[in-house]
Amino acid sequence: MARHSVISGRKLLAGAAAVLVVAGALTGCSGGGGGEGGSGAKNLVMYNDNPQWTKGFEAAGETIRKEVGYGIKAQSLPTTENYTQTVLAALPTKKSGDLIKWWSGKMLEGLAATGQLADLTAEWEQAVKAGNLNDALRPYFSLDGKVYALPLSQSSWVTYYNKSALKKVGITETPKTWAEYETVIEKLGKAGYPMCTGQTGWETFVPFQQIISAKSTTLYTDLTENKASFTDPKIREGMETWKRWIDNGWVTPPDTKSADCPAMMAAGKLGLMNTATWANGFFKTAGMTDADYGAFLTPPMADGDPAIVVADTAGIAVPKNAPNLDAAKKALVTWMTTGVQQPWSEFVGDFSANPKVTVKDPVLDSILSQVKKQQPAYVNRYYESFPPKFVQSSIATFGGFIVKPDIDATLTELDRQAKQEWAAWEKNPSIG
Amino acid sequence: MKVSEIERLTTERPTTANRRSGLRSGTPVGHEKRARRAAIPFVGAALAVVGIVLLAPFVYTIYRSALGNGGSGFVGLDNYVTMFRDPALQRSMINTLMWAVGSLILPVGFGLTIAVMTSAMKLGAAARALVVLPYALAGTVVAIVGNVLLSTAGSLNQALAFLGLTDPESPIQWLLQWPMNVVSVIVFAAWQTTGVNVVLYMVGLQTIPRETVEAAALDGADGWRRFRFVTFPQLKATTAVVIGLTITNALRAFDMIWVLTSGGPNRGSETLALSMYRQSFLMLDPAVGSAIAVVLTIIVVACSWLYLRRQIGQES
Repeated sequence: MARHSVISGRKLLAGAAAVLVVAGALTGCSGGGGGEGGSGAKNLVMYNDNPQWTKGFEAAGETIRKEVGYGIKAQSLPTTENYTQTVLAALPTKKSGDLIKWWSGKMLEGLAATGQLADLTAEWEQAVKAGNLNDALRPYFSLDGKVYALPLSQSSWVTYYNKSALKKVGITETPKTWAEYETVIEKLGKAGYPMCTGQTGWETFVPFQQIISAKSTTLYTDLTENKASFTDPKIREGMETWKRWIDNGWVTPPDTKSADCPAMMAAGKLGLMNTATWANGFFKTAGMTDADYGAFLTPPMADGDPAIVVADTAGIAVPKNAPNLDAAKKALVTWMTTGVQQPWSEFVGDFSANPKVTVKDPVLDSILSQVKKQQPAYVNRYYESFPPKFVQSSIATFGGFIVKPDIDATLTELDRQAKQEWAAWEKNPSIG
Repeated sequence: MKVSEIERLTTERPTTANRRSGLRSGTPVGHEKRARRAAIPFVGAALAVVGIVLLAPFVYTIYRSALGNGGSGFVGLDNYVTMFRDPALQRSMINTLMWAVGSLILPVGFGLTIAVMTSAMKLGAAARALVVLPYALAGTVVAIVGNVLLSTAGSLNQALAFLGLTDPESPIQWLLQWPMNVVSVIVFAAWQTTGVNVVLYMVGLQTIPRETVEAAALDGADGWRRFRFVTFPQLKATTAVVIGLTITNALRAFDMIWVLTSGGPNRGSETLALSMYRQSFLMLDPAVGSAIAVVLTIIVVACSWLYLRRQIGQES
């Protein structure tokens, strides 16, 4: 008798466990459906890798809902690598989402080449016609003449500087020529206020980007179109400038992390940081106001040339398989209107690709007035300008240069990588 | 009794007794059959989870490592050839070997030493608790602490300069020069993993019969000889577990290296785990990335099997 009840007790336990597992599986699988909420509110699903911007996306969605009938439900993944893989896997399926945040430039071309993105040329032209979009950005969002994304925002790369440090070394005005810029770097470096660079992270190309684009925007652009080689003597001269900064100790130690640089500036340990306007908020988080830090544009090496601004734009694309394809396309046109872009740009603390949007932040405002006054030349950021595999492999090589500035070895290696990856890119640019 | 006799007695396992009592597995008896059947849903559920989440993707990775990128079809062993020819990946394999050796010496060696030395100490429990505590921290947190200590402008260099041991103008670049950066990360990771080895060795030490150690002491064997001929041989089973765990975890170490050096400078401190991640997710090259994953798995399984086979073989 006892044995019989023990066995049926076991069966009961096994049955209960099975029921629990099935119930768990059902609840797990039923969550995260197609964005159609129980209340009947219709939403476009937007994949992105910025969980900190969810509120901004959904606020923009409410304005878009008035025009298009659909709001935005932001689905964010916190790590970029995870996000990239998820999007690449989801695009050919029914769960591709309606809107995808993605890079511009070659990364966008690589995604468009998979054939999974919708053509947004008509929507782009609509936005430009309404005066809501800076048409100069068009090459960064196109492949073979067709547009595949509209801009998320338009960041610009500037050099942030420590105002009290500059005063301490006796400089009263921000540099307008390259000679003045190098004097600023030298004086600040000697006084213990170095410039932020480091070998960990993706930012290793930043000094290269700044120096080469300042040397000649044509050279920089040719390099990004495989019309110039890394062994060009002008590139070598640029590397020698960089080597001089490193050898003289005017830059931070190579194991500095750029995430730490705003805090270092607040603590009086850093003089300069070349980064984008999307980093503006980090200086505030570190406790600084526009009395403590400011920004200036990169001066050109050749006198008489305009200043240089590196454009850093991300975009929003629409998958071909989007469940609400037409609504998504219309939503992007509404996305570019001032009614959406003004609060969005204030929320994210950065410039908008809509030229009618004004900025409230004093440092951003000073950058905007410098841009209006100096009418700079624009180039696209290094990260988006080369085939993605080359970007990653060169980031490691630049990191090695930062620790051991061997110009010959570095340029030979970059040239080898460039030849290999450009050949592969020309054969098949798809990253899928 | 001589020490060597004690050693012989304590390492032989009585197997004949088991055979005589007929408890070796052969034809299952009725109640054993029912017990097995009742266990199937529990074991089955676990097998299903492991199979779906771990084994099926692993089989797919092996398949993927024989394909090229961008839908280019079957390429055979090309990805493996690329991998073994790439100097960065060759360096990565050397670093992986350094990790395997380093984690054998440091966390296992220190774990054993600390367990043995604190087992007879007055405040031994408190000392052990301090050693084990870092294990409660997430690897990333430990790595961030490591950054504060080991970076060029960090605390360790400041302390050395303060003590006059180094020139403040040229601090030691702990994380920037190969092979010192690999060794620095291994040593720092050992700080965390020593704790769990101490706990495992404490458990092992408690299974040693006190009579064997006391007999050796009565015989006149001093501390070191007692340890070498009496205590340590009886810890073989525990050592097998400790080494098995430590090697598999060390070969898969990721977060420590990633936060401290990002595998740099210029990929110099990568191990195969980082190379696999970089190749698959940063370079968007799942072909060579899968090949690296397969090679790493083979190395981990081989290391574990080579060691455990001897230990398990000796016991049965």
